[in-house]
Amino acid sequence: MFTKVLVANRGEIALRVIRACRDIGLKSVAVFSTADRDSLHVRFADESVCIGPPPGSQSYLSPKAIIAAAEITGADAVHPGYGFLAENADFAQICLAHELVWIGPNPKDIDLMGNKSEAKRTMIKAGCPVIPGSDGPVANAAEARKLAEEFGLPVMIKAVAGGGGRGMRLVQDIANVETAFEMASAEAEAAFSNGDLYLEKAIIEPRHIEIQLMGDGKGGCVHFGERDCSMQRRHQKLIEESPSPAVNAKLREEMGRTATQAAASISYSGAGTMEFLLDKSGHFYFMEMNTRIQVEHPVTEMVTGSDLVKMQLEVALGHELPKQKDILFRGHAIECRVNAEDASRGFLPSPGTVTTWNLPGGPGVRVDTHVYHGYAIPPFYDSLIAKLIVYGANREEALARCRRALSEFIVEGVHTTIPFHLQMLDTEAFQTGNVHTKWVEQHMEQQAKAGAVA
Amino acid sequence: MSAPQLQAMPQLGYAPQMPAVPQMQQAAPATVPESRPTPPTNTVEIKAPMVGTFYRAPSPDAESYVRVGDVIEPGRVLCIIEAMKLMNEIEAEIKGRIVDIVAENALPVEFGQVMFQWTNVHKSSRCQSR
Repeated sequence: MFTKVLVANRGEIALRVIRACRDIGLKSVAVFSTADRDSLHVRFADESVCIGPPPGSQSYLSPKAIIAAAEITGADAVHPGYGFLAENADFAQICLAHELVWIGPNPKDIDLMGNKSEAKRTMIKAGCPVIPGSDGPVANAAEARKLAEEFGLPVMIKAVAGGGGRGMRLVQDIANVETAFEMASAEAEAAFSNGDLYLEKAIIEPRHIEIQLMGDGKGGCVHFGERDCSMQRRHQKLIEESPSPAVNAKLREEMGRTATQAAASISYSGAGTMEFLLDKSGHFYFMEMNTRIQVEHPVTEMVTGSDLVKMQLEVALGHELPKQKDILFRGHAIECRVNAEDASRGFLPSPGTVTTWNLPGGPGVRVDTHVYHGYAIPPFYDSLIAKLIVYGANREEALARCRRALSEFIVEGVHTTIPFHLQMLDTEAFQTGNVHTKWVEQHMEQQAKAGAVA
Repeated sequence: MSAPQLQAMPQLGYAPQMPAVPQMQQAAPATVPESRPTPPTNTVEIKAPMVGTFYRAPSPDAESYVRVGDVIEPGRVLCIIEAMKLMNEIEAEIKGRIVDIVAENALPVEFGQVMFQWTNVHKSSRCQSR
């Protein structure tokens, strides 16, 4: 049991957690750095404590400062939000050692899923498909050919020590595997003084599909369907939606069942997300698991009518999970991450004072934000300033509302990614749902440069 | 549309000394620009370098580390701030005289909260973990 939750985060997610606390009658404690004294999470929490100077390492990333804040306020639980210490198993352990309820998974599961190879092994054991690949470095070209035949073409050969595309070869034809292997090995040797290569099946133009999970820590687990996060730039998600234009009810059921089984196999507790790559023929492969609430959780909340952050608190309080059959999907939701960045200048961060802030409204519009008119966006933290979430009866209606809401969302004083979102919405590829994880990089860079903020 | 009034509004009921306006961004007492000669009567605020519980003495029965009127040499322990069950001794960095002890014994201090009023001080206190 607990009654007072310390929110070890800042920005919109801190406010989101504080709202959930208020909705179920829990007290909340905000912590803040001196740069965030005027932030809304400080204003709307029941109590607040200044924990340090602006650098994250001395405030939001300092277990000592956060635990001290819990001690002086008598908080008896900690919600980490996302980012900062949310997936830090040591911090979770420290909270438990100080008799604070950790609103998240068991520290050992954070560790397990944070380790790529262990996570992969766990998933294979639970019957979840992973991207087929060599178990460590490939001995020689003949071995590479054998593996390529086994996995099926195309395959990707990558330097173990790699980076920047060097020592990397995409092989489409089995006849070229050995030559590609020798060349990549020489390249890797020259670039990294290490010619070791590994080989994995290449997924061409995949979609990023993730499954939202909630576990009770006793082997029970339910899923809330998928989110499609294929609209991303350099692994930074820009737009997320649910349902995915590429996932039908049968595939949703199959992915959801696979993910819940895997999470249940480790008696996972709390909110988590399994990320998959989905290829064009409908095969999905496990990538990684995020052991926390995610930025894009609201799209799932909109289509399932659930409150996932409230549910995190309830799970930690020992409440029962909803039944899978009661989790129903209705309508379509899209989220645009509004960042204080200048897309026309390589998405350069744009901190500063917000001189105009007009939030969109009307049917089907939700905005999660900690920003207000006159707020000074500090330069110390990530550039997310708002999440615009729209809901419609179907994708067409959601797209129309999204465009309408973005055009009403007026921000002056700083650059934002709102104009870039409008450009993305205007592409035929996004409108028809025909995108993949590299699509924005391949097709939008020019438009980003051209579309200087008016 | 007018801006919401979002002045810092401390909600820690037990920290009555909290100023109603945002404090300085750093613990360093930068209120006095270095270019201006400091009148000897000027006081400077020594602020908490960390969040925790403020103690004036090493134990409940012991003497306080410092008292009003004491002239403090650099390196002298001023107080303890307890965080995560650790007693962190807070030392003076340079010479000065204590004119007021603002923080209350055994009560919480936030980062940047004023602990002492001081004269003839040019640098902040620093914290050392014991």
